[in-house]
Amino acid sequence: MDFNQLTVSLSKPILGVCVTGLVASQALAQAAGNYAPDGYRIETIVTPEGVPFEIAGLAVCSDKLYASIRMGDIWALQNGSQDAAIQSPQWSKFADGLDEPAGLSCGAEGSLLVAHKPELTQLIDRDGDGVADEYINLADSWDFHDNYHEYHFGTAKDLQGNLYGTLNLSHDKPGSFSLGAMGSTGGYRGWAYQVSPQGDFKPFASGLRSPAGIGASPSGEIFYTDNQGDWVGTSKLHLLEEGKFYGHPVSLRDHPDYTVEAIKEMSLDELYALSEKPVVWFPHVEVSNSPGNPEWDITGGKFGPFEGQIFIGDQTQSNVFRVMLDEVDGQYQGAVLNFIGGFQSGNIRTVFDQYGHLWVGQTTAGWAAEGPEPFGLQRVVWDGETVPFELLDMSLTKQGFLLNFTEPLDPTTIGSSSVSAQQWHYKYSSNYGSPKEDLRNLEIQDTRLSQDGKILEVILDLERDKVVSLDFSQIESLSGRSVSVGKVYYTVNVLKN
Amino acid sequence: MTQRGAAIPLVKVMPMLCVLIAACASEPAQPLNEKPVEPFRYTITHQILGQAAYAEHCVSCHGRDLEGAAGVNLVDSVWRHGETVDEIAQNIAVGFTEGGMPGFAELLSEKDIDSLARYILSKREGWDTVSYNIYSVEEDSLPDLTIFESASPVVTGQFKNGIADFERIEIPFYAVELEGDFNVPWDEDIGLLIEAAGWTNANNKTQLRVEVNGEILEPLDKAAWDWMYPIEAGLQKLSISYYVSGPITQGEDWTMWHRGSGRVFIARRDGSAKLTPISRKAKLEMEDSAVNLEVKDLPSVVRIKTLDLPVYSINVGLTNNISYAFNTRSCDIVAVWYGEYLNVGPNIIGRGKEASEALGEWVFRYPDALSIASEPAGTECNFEKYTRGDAPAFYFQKDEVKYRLKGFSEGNGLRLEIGVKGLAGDVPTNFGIPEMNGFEAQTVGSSFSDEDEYPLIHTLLLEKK
Repeated sequence: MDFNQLTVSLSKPILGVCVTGLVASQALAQAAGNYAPDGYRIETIVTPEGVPFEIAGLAVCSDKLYASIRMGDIWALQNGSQDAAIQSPQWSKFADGLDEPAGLSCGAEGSLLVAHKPELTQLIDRDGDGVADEYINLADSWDFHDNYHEYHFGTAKDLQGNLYGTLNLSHDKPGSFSLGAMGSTGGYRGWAYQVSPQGDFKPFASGLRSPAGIGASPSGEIFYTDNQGDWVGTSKLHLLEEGKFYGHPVSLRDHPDYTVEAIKEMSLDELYALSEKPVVWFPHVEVSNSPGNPEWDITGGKFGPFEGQIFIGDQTQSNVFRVMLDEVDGQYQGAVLNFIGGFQSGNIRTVFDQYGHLWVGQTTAGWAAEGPEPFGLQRVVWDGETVPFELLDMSLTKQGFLLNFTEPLDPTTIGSSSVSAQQWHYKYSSNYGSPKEDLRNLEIQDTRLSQDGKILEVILDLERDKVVSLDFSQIESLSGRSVSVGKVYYTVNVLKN
Repeated sequence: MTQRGAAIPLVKVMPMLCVLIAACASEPAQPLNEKPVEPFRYTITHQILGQAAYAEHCVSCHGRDLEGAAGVNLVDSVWRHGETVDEIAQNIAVGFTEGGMPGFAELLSEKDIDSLARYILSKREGWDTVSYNIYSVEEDSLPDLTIFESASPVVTGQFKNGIADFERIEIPFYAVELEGDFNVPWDEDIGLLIEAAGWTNANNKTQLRVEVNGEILEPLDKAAWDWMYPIEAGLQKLSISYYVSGPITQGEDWTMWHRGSGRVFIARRDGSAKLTPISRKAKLEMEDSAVNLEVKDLPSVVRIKTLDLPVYSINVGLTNNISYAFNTRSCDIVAVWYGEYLNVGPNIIGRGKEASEALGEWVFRYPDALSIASEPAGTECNFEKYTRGDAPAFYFQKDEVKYRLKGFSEGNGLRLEIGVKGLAGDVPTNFGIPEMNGFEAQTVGSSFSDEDEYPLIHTLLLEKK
């Protein structure tokens, strides 16, 4: 949820008047790409009639899917079988009156945790009638100033039971401290927080801008996404660690070592040196303008071959993309590529259910999305049989990259021109986003195919602190299939020694 | 904002009867802008209620745009029988039987009549007639507003309803000059809000200029996305000039304000509320902004940014048309009102930048407050939770004492039960009761029950006089 989406959304009005609105929207949605791996489909779930179902939070707790909507309700959908939600969706309202609840997670003993603007609240249904009776304040030790952009996202839980949430900066808030588009009036805006199992609140990390997605890896590490904009060259994924600073300076006003005046005096170099590097940069428009939460595929193969990878929706691009982490010298970096496009609205939330379906909660929230609808709920379903021909995984080597495919490649499509590469970086500044800086083509020195034909080694010279794109769309499988997505973007923070 | 308790049937008034409110068409017409109306308060609720009442009772005689038909014109004529809110409201209530207009006191609540008077007066705000000149400019040329003197416009005309319609601009690269007499009747800090004007910072192809009486205004915060220009109450000549010579971003085909996308409002200067649109897109947006919540079988509890209430307030609507707001930072009751409940439209439409609005009549509101413990209102507290059901209850701690506040509907009033946990001794009961409008407070007394987790109960009754 961020106004960086304007870059895309503002292209619509002129279309809207040249053609009829509906036709223009559909054409635009198709232009954005209706790509999908073989065997995957998008299904649309009917939402409660007459309710503006602008989903901003999504959770699966036992056999129920919970959706929080912008108007303040939380609705429950019985998800007792694979197809029930499609054939006869049974919705019931679980709670209401919350202040733009933009994050849901499962709490202890059947409770639900909701991140809404003023508070992290635990909802408990004491009498078992399917409606929450108690709204318990778990944490509210930050300041909310009634600014529309002061969203609260979360929570993710680590293996020790600590909860984590993120607090958006404000926008156009009179009196706020701003060094670009977004601002802070204090009270841990632009911070991530931790709440211990005992209920203790701790400001955890700073420098966040519009951190609309937070999630925990299977090993309990916390990651978050941030939206492109001032001080954020393009959208990104970070590993969230205590005490770290993630780049947006205004949040430092709440750091004990800084003051507003001191922050204003800091040079760009000083701030850059202080900032953590993203694990993965998401190229603007090509992949993502407004990423939501990272959701790990731990379905045990129910969602196909991408076990362990991260799936993220984008609110502007109406797509879902996937992230492949690569641990190099003890640090995470990795690659991103589009997974499936052509959703009906803006994808802000993703969650897997017990059947391995990837649910996608949608809202435009006053911005705009490639998909034509203002809100909705869809899910991505794998047919359980078809193995798609796609890039499965990617890792850095001392000489370049290993590209691991889901089935053997046709050696006759492998040659010096079968893969092309570019590299660039993003400029850190108060400007609203960054173009690709020092963009240049990289020479592919060699390509080598493994004996089983699935792993393609690409040899090329790499530099650290670059994003490298590899276009492999011309490669075919031995069975003559083409990939649905032929471009991957790897963030090289460090090289392999 | 009708009084929910008033059981007055609404009767369709014969159009022939509602002829005259306060104007006399036979007198020489005085141009609107020669005499601005006295500043008055106006909120979106006044607009909604006033517009609804107008549509129900007045439109058939006075016309859709108040331009007059069987009844007189209400926007461009002399107001012989008074022109303040109170005078017009009185005229609506009593009517002019000799002129064929009935009194509406039996048909409309006081609040409706008051809103209707403000609505009618509000039609004298903003531009009356806006003249526009559109010039063609070279693609990618640097903005130069002297074009208004050096070139001839390709299109000229007037918007006669006070609403600038940018769809009139049909060329891709243009300069446009809008100008007209502009009336600001509001008695609060007001600004001219131009949304998304921050685009002009991002390129060298656009320029925006706002002038009042020939003086160039600067926005309060030029780094902001939406620009707010402070303007004063009264009559002034307002001109808005805009130049655009190309897409802002390479590869984009969009230019700001092209084909109807400009949103311009008169708004509260602090950004908390839009008061009236002065562009077509803005008008369309405001017309969508009424989403009134209704209280049905159970009380409603809604946390949402609410106009004139402090941050962290939770609104409670009871089933007897009494509503109150509990604040989780002070644990005070920061407002009580009766009548309709909440319009949440401004906070959930678009990006929800504006505040929802408590409907009905204030009994009291922030900064006045009803404090629960012995401390003055505004003292910090530890808010623990609230529960739903027949009587929503708020749990909190002040000065080591744990409290539970329950609000019940009782008759036309509000019964507050303040429970104190685990203490039977000398527990603060010195409630701070603010001055109330039309209500009085009565301390009913205290009781003790071993069976309640909060055994000591103090009861306070707020009743309508």
